Amino acid sequence: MTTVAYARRTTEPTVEAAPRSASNGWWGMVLFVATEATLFTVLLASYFYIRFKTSSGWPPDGIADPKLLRALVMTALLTASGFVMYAAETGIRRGRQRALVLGLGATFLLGLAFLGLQIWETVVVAREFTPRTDTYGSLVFTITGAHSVHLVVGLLLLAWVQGRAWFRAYTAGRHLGVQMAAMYWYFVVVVQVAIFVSLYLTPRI
Amino acid sequence: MEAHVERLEKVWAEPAGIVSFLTSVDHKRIGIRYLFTAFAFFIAAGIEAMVMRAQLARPGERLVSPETYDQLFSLHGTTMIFLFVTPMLSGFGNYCVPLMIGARDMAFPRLNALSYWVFLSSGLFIYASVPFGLAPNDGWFNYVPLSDKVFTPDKNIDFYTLGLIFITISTTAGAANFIVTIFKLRAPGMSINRMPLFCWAVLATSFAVIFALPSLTVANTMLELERNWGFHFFQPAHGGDPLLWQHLFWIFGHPDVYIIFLPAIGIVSSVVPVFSRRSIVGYEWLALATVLTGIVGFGVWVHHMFATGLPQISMTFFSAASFMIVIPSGIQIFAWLATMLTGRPVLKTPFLYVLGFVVVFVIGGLTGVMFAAVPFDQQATDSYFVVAHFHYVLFGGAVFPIFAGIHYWFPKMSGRMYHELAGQVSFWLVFVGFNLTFFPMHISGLLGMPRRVYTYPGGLGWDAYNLLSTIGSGVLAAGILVIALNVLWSLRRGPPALSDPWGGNTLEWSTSSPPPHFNFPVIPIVRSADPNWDVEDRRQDALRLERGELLLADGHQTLATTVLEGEAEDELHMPSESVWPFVLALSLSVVFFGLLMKLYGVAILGCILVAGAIAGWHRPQRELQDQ
Amino acid sequence: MRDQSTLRPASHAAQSIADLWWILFVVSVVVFFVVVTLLFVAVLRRRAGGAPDRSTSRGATKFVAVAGVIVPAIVVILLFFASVATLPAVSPAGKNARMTIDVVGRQWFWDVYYRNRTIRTANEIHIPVGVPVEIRVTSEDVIHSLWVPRLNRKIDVIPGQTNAVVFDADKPGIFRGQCAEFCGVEHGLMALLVVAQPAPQFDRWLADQAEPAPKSPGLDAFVGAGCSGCHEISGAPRKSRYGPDLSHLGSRLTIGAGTLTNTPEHLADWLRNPQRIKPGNKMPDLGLPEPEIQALVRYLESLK
Repeated sequence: MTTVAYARRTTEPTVEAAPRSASNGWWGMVLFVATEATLFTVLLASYFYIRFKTSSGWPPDGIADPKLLRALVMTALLTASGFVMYAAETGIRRGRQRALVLGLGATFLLGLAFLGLQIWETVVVAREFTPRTDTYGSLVFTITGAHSVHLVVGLLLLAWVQGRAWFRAYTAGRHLGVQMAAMYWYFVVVVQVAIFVSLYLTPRI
Repeated sequence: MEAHVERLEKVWAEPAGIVSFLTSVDHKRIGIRYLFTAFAFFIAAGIEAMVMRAQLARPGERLVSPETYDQLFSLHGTTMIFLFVTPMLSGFGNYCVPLMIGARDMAFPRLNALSYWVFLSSGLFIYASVPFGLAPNDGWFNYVPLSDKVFTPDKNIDFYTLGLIFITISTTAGAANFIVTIFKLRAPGMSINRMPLFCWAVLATSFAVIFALPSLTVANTMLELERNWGFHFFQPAHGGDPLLWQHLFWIFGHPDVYIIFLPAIGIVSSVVPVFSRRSIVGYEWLALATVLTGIVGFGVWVHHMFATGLPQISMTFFSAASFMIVIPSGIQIFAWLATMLTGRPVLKTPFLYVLGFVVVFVIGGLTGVMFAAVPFDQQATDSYFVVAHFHYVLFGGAVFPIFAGIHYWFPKMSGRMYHELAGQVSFWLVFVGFNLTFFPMHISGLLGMPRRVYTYPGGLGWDAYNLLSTIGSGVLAAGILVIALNVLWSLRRGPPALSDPWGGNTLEWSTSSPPPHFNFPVIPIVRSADPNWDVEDRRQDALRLERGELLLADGHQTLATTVLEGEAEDELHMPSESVWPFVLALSLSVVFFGLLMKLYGVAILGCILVAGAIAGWHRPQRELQDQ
Repeated sequence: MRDQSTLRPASHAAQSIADLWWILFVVSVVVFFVVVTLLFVAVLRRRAGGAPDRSTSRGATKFVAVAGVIVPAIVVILLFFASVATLPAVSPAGKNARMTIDVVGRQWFWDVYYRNRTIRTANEIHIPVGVPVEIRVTSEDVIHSLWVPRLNRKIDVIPGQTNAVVFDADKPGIFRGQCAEFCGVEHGLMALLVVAQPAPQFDRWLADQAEPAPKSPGLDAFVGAGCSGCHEISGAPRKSRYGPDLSHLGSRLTIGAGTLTNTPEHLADWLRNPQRIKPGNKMPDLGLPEPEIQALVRYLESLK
């Protein structure tokens, strides 16, 4: 009998078959995402802190309310990429290599499109205010900038996993790399939603 | 049986020399490195303190300039907290956790090595400031606007902010490693309510690290951007708020003191049952108190800001939370006392340091309760009374347990016994020296002496207490010197130690002193919370060795188990030696050097090197099992 | 009389805090003695040897629950209420203050303003005895903290915001205070004095402070030496608020923000070499010849 079965027998477990709970790598990515998510929570909390301490209007210093359209499109694209990623993950769980490769590719392209729009957005916004204008500017650029950095890391992760998928590294039962990349990507998507709501929607309340 | 052990030895053998030094991923070697490196920083910070005490021995002394004094007190605090006490406890965690849970290594051995190399690099980074007279000089919590560019134009503050962001990588990686190790690598049968309390402590600490460090990183990043890139976060003239720094810092800073305290009391929970010759009283209470302290620790940070003019309602809330947090500590103190009272105390050096811990930490905890009372805080904060308080809780709550741990695990780590009489002498010197140094500070604080002053006038009633403190610091230093000499001497000349010199209850005592590279020849089966006192189970381990069962000798292997019940579920193949952690730490140093010197090309080059090192690290190894 | 002890209160606020301290202290001593006694009992009792005791004792666990949870919970709840009860004395809500003084923290001295900023002095605050005086504080550079322990708690002095503390001295006296938030290289020598006087004396002092400095040839020496580039003397043509106001320096008890007592010898030392006395402070060594220094000392000491 295998070592695992022997160990289970010796400690008298209640269930015969060995369970397959989450692996080390999965836990590692969960914890990494937890710490980075806390980073964004703190950044957004700082944004709201400064906002509630600012007695003049918000945005301050005569800066206009952030325009919604481009940011909405960006957020929608990235949210869609989250669903595509989920489809890719589901695909490999059922052993479908093509679904994985196509899904990863589409996610990557959607992420790239987001990045392009984010750069455009940054350039346009910078015509009205920059990080050096005031604290509002510093916060907006820092928050969106931090997100873009995390997104780029996500794109690199997707590219890596994509490369491994081409060499058939993943199977229905073994695809930890895909799970880890997917989890990170969902995190990047959720942070964008939070940024969109906080920086773009709530000033209009 | 010898054939089985030989097979394990061959698989786990490490090459000799410098290559092995740079590529080892053995948690025991890494743990010992952490201990020595952290202790070296302890000595540095201690020397900084001695110079400060020499300066303050008499009123109007001019031994050092105020500029130098400001760097001394800032480096002292920063070093003690970030470069000594947390890494020292990481060192004990690194060494002891896999052994205590019956595993062969940490869950991520290369990440473990990376944590050490980054710790060393970031410590050297910060101390590189010293020869240039540019050491951090705005205290260990670095308030703005003083730390802004306009008031501190030189690089002192940049060494601080970048150095701390750098070391955060090490601490966070270590925390993730500990959590996964403790969750997944425990021996079969070690359900979560059977694991040693030291592991509960490391687990709670690691979760606190995951959620507390980002706040510090955000604060330091904002300050760097404000100092060097023209951003505005903390400047009222540009819509910012200096108190934002304080909130961000203390949202990290208060949990940080529990990040320091919890592993230390994990050591206490290890020593007390063994030296009371009985199992710990109130295991569930202690585990719960540990977790509660870690959680409630996130809800009290504003008590560092009671003098800043906040609304009374918020101060009252945080005051109530700060009073409440004493209760888990109370549970722990009385659980240990109950264990001692119903046991048979053995007065050897590790236990003496635990007794010292109880006395000193309780005093510190009581003055802590005083600070929860807002009006009293508003008189005593930023005075020598608070300096006394935090030294009592930090030195009492962490350093005494560290000294206990040094003597307790010395035989296991080195295979030799330390000199017991020297140990006892060191305890009394440290205990008397500590109290002589820090108790008088309560009084000078109440008499109105503020903190962080490089000198003071005579005639205010502070002189005698300052002189006593200075004398005490000499006695304390002597005690620490005895510890160091005891360790160094015993490493060479100490008598050989048994695998279990103390009659210990946890699994590290079931293997040899020092343990082989593979820790245990067979993975132990655990049936209670004191597995090394289960004599029959350990005999069964030996029988299994003869039969070659649970050997796991096909490479660097250990067993994965479920999180709560500890049921075996998988065989893990773990990496052996790798140079990538060292290379990655070096690459990160290039990035931070570039940022410090504002050579952004260098920083970008460093990032490319980092990406390369990560890629090299993840090149699929034949050894690694991709689950 | 110039000491800074929190345990020699000279106001109701400081007295309330001191009372709270004694309650906290007594409770702490009792708890400490209980713990140490238990430690001694544990260590000094000798029991027979044998295998490790693995029994679970219900009594011991109950002890932990009572001593570790119930008793501390009761104690901290009572202490919390004691502390809340002290708050009104220390930070009175509502405006019962009958006078307002504005203090601006600067590296490394205190700008003190009376009567809506029309009267300016430095490092010395006079108040009438028995009158609650609101001290409004802000900073023009880094964070400082105003702390006069015998009169009240400390209050942080923060740029971009105004905080307040009330001084209500119940007896006349001179009360020393110091900056209590690290503010740079001369944080250690940034003291101040609060002088509580009976109302008539206080009124006279304030009236004197409101007078411009008398015309004097010494003023030419002052301007000639370049002093008016940083220091203001009321009634004199140049206006600079970079350094402390010197209009009535002769009437002050200390110089250098409490660093030296105000005597002609000390003032001369200061003028010769301020960097030696308070290294890093913002007054440079001027390299003045001795006769000029003596002339300046005579002039400044005459400004009462």
